[in-house]
Amino acid sequence: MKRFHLPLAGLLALSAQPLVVDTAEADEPREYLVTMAHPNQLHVIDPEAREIVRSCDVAGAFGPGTLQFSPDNRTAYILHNRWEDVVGIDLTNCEEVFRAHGPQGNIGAKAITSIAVSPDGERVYVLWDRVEKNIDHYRVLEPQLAVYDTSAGLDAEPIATFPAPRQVMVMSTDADDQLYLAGPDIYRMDPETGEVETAIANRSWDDPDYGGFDSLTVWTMGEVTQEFFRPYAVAKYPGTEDETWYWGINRVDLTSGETERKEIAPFESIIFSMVSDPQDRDVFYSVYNHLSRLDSRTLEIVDRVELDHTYYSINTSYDGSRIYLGGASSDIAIYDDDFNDLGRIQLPGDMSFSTLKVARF
Amino acid sequence: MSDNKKTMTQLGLAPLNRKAREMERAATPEALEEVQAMQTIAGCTSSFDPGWEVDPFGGVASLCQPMEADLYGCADPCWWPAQVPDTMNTYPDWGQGANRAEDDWRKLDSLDPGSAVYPGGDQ
Repeated sequence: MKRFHLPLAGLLALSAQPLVVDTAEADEPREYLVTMAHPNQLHVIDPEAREIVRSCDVAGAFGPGTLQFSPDNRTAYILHNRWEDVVGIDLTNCEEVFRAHGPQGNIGAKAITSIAVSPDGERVYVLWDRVEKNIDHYRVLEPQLAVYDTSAGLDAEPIATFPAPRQVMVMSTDADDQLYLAGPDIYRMDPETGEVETAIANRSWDDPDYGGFDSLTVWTMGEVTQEFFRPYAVAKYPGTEDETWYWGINRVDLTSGETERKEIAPFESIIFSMVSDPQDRDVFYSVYNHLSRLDSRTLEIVDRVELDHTYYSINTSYDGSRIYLGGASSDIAIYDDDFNDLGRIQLPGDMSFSTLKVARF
Repeated sequence: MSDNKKTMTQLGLAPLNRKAREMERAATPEALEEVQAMQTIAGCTSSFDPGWEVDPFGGVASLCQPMEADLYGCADPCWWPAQVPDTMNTYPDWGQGANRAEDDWRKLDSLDPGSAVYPGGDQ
């Protein structure tokens, strides 16, 4: 018997090593890309290995695929089922942990990318655009901000509702649980009381040196830098020989609630979404048919590469060394911060216009 | 005066981008209708964004490329209901069995809005 002890001890010693490494790695949060794709799948992707780690079938039809995370990033809350459900999925095991349905009886409701999660993870906020469907006519109702308890299970009802502004798309919460809503202006709502104020003026910006602000924002990025973004295009000195068009940014620092609106680059091509560089908040990455780097200090487009197809949604790694492009077609592109092409991750379905989010857990 | 003859301002709408201002500046109501023919607002959308056919600079370089990359991004949010079937409300099953538009675009058939018939599919 004794002669077996040494080999056994050796084997134990060998097997103990990876266990120690695994434990250390398990303590270190890993970074994942998370997105929705046709027909109804939530994908959790390892960007280092460039492979899908987990694909979760989410009951119901696709749409719109707008995502927000719980504070620990382990649960994704998704607008789903033709814009009528909000669904919570545990990213570690695909379990459905939350679901609420917007329409009630003859009241139709759709959420146009308007979803946010409270900083303590106990509430999910959804803005429903509603219509009363009668036999002979429809009546458009006031939009409603619905507050849900995230522990309410799979048939959740709102625990509070408030009247909300019209034309709101993306939303986010700051560290004090103030809710930011991107509508004609950027609004700030207290979800305890429903009180609304203007946080950043856009449509109500009253300056003859500026034309009207034009915005498109249906992607809820900003989790990496803890910011809420809405890019805009605007003409400065409109109608004069000095008329100049710019891209600008509405930005809320979600750690402090501090707001900012400023022009950052010339309006030379279309941008669908942008995020700031985690290493330098005055530098922005933008995407559409090009990947661009914009320096707001000099109002310049510093770098630009043409892409193999349109991408809608841009994000970065937490250390800023990698740029992720998705949100259209069926592949996610990865670039480094020198704009070297690092490859593609193919998905089995089209992302339509889902948000491409970065989770760490 | 019918709504078709009113200017955007008379309809309570403010032009925000260059193309919308061009519409507002159309010389005659008839000319305005010519512009609207390419920008028909129908179904569930009220988007005044530049159209599927031309970008905001009057060219095509800033359109989504290729169009297959943009098909579901336009169908699912009912963005261009005149050009791409609206899967949000009217044609929910248009993309069934065609999960990757770049590979499966041949399965994404044209529709006859009058009869709401799905060619090759259920009626």
